[in-house]
Amino acid sequence: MKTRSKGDKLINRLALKNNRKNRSRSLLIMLSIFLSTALLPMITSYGTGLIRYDRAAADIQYGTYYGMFSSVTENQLEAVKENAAFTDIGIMRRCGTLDCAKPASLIYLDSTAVSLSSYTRLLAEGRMPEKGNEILASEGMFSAAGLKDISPGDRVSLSFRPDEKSTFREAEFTVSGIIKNTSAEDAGIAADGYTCVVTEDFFRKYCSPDESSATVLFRLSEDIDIDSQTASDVISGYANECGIRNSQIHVNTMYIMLALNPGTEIILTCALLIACIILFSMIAIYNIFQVSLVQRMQEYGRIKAVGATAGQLRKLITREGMFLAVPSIPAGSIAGYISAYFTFGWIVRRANLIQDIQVDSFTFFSPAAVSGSILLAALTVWLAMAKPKRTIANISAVEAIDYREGISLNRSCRKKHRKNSTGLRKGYENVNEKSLALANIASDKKHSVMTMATMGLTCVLFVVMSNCAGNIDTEYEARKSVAHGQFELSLDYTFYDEAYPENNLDNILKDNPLSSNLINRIKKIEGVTDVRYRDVLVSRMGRQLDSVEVLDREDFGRMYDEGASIGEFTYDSATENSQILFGWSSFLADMGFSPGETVEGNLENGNTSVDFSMEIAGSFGHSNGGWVITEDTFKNMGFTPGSCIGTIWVDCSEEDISEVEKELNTILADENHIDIESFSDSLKEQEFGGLIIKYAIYALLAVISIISFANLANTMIISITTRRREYGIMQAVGMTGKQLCRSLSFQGLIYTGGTLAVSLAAGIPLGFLAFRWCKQHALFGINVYHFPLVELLFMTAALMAMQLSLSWLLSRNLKRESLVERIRY
Amino acid sequence: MKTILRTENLCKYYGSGSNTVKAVDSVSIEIRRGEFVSIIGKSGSGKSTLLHMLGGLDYPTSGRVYLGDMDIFSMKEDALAVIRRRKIGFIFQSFNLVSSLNIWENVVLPLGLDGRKADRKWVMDVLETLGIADKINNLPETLSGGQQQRAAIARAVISRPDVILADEPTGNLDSKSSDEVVALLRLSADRYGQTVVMITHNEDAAQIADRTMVIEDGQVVSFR
Repeated sequence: MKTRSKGDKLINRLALKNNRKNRSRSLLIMLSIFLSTALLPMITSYGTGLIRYDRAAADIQYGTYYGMFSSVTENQLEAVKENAAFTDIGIMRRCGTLDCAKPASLIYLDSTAVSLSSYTRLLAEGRMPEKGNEILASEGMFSAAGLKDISPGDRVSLSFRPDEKSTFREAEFTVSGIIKNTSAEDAGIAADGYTCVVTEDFFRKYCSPDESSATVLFRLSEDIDIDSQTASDVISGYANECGIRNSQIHVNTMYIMLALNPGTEIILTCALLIACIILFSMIAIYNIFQVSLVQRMQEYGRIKAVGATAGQLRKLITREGMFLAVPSIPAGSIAGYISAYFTFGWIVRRANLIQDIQVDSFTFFSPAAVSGSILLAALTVWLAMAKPKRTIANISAVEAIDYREGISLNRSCRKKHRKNSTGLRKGYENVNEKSLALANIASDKKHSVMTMATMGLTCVLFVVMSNCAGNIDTEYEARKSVAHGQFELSLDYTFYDEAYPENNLDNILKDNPLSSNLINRIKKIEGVTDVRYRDVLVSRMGRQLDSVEVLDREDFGRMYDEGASIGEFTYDSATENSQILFGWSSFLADMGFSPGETVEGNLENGNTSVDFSMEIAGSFGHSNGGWVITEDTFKNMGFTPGSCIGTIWVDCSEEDISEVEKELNTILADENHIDIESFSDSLKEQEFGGLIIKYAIYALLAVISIISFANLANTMIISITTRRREYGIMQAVGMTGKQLCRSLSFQGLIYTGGTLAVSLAAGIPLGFLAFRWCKQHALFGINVYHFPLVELLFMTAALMAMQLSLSWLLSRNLKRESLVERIRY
Repeated sequence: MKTILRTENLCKYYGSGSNTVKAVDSVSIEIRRGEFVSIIGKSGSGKSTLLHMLGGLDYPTSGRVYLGDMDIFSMKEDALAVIRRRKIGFIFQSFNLVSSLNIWENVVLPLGLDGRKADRKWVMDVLETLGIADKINNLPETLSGGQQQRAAIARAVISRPDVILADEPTGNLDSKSSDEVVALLRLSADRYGQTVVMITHNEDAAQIADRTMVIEDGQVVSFR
């Protein structure tokens, strides 16, 4: 036992000394380990962060309740409270209305309801009302009530009534906070109505729980297995047990879909990236180590000759690798985590701005992810050591001691070499720097090819990813939001608003603000060059309401070309077969639909209702509506184009944009239920998104390139140091310093050529395939294929610059030893 | 005969102060064109250091080396390399062939580095003389020591240098190969009119030289 521990100590000392002696190799391996280790926690942290951000954003945007029951009686409420299936029960009650220019209702939310509905995200300043006559309302509401410049703490007098049987009465309120403006209000369009929040004290003072029905927000117990497909049935089952009718149930589908999503796509993407990094790092570390073994073969032979067993030599190699990993892995992990912390923090802040939400209450630090990254990095080093360990363990002491450069290491290889090779080389009639470089590379084909393959694979990855990154078309992506012209006016609607049923699409269409009259007014605006519109219908399938976009041939084709669709269909086939299409392919299965299935219900345009029974032809990747039909199907069903406009696009020349926008806002100031979005704003958002994706891709490539470059540098350093005697001989017989530098540079250029050949031969077709895959899956901004010429030229120039400078540095380094010293080596 | 190689107070010292080692100490010699000179001395006497400085491979601490009329250490490094490939041929004890090049390429290497094309007839003549004409495509490691040293001799004579410097060319060879190599060197000196300076421990090899230089402790104690 004692002997074994002494033996271990000796191996440790030897490993440390070997690492110290082979400083350049050790530094390059440490650099490779450091960089790959830095990437791993970055990727896992980003993955964790993205999943958590999506969930946090879903919490904020859609609340954290699984559903809500409306018009709940006190008996039903008691039953819900007693049912163990429901947890976190929040109650919201109407407390009357205010007397002001626009409808303004008073509601009370208990603290659970505030939390479940993420109501605090609506706070512009101040806090939620807590006691007495505190009130929370928007500036617009105060303005409609004739009050200006209100801020938290102000006392205001407002006229209200608790129910429609009562008369309005004055009451003093203390403003606890101000609700944020909606985007329409920011654009100068007044809201149709307001909601003000008051306290429980207010509710108890003026209203009777027995006479007032409640809205109940709830979550289901963690024990209940639920997903977006089963949510409706599961919730209905428990609700019915409490005497709640189906018509009272509203499932928070978006929250369930986003919050319960395990993030499979993100996890798979991260796993793929991690696999790529491990592969590259492993090859690079292995190659650096293996190439350096050649140089130290005699040393290992001596150790074996004095009695080291194969197992001890294997242990020695493992320790050498692990001692290099010990400082590099923690340093890399910390560097990766810090980089992720700052870059991800920046991305979250920008994403918050774009989405107009404030997600900051989550950490993307996952101990499991970080410790997993560390283990993966250690595993990478261990795997990279596997082959060198075998090489050293299998070679005989005599062979190792006798070993001279240029002779194969492995006994079996050496035997094979003797048996199969004639030991002949065709060679060149005349020798020059180029033929010397070629002969040098040919003499160690295996490692030369390995180096070119590793560099080549990095460049393949570069070509493939630059194919994708370079083809990101932010304008194309922006056109997915604003399909035509410079401005998009669209209906702002809901489906199930009971408090304000006038906000529901079916009701809006009855008195549609997007009318032909509005189009005529817009056309008269100076500078407007074109106005287009698209109709929208309301579909009613059982209890389910949704919107149905009516697409003309052009928009149908364009949306199909955006990719990510499911099913084979064309405008003509969908028309001929009177088919309907789902709007969001990723939710098709989640919503329980499939192509070929027939759906039934009725379509409404505000005035007319038509029963339908249509086959689902498939699904578009993304559309503005829940469903889509063709314009011809729309006409065939008896609807008139322009009878139910859902979207209007306004075009003008670039110089008229601000004037036209001003005019549009003036016209729309009196209109309700209209959202306006400009193409330039959409473009700005997409440009930011595109920039982040490009930065992320290029940063990842830069790190992988550095790892591969370390591998190349090592191969060249080792090649030169092991051949320094040969270079010395050549200089002794008359090679000048310039000739040496040229020969090394030419050698570098051969590596560049080989690397480029691999990368272009494999990278261009793979890049095109990757582009097509991205296009088919409608990934960010991927539209028209452009050959990545600039990226390839950049890559070639960078490779050449790196290799030429390396050759120059190495030829200078060689001169540090005298000719005689090198010849004697 | 005209002097082809001359040294003036040539010194090579290592270390400093009391640790100074005088590898070559104030050597002033003259070697005439076409002469076959052998250098003998004990290990560590400074033979190889002197030879390296005669060939411009190593720089002296002081003193000069003249090749013809040229002071070779007044030249820049690259110019000296050109002199080495045109005017001097080296033969080393451990052959020092380039392992990645075949025998032909090794032999024509000084010509190639000088930007000259190999005169196939001349190269084959040399190789036939040395008895390795059938080994031109072989890699060095596949040849015996004697054959490798013949290839090294071929490389040394191929550019018709003024001087061939041989550093114990028989040191790694068996006695039969040693005799052959020394005979070949003598032959090339006679046939091609080249000056040969050879370090050897072999008394018999020293016997065939025109003059023998004896070195002890870095100094030439006899040159007759």
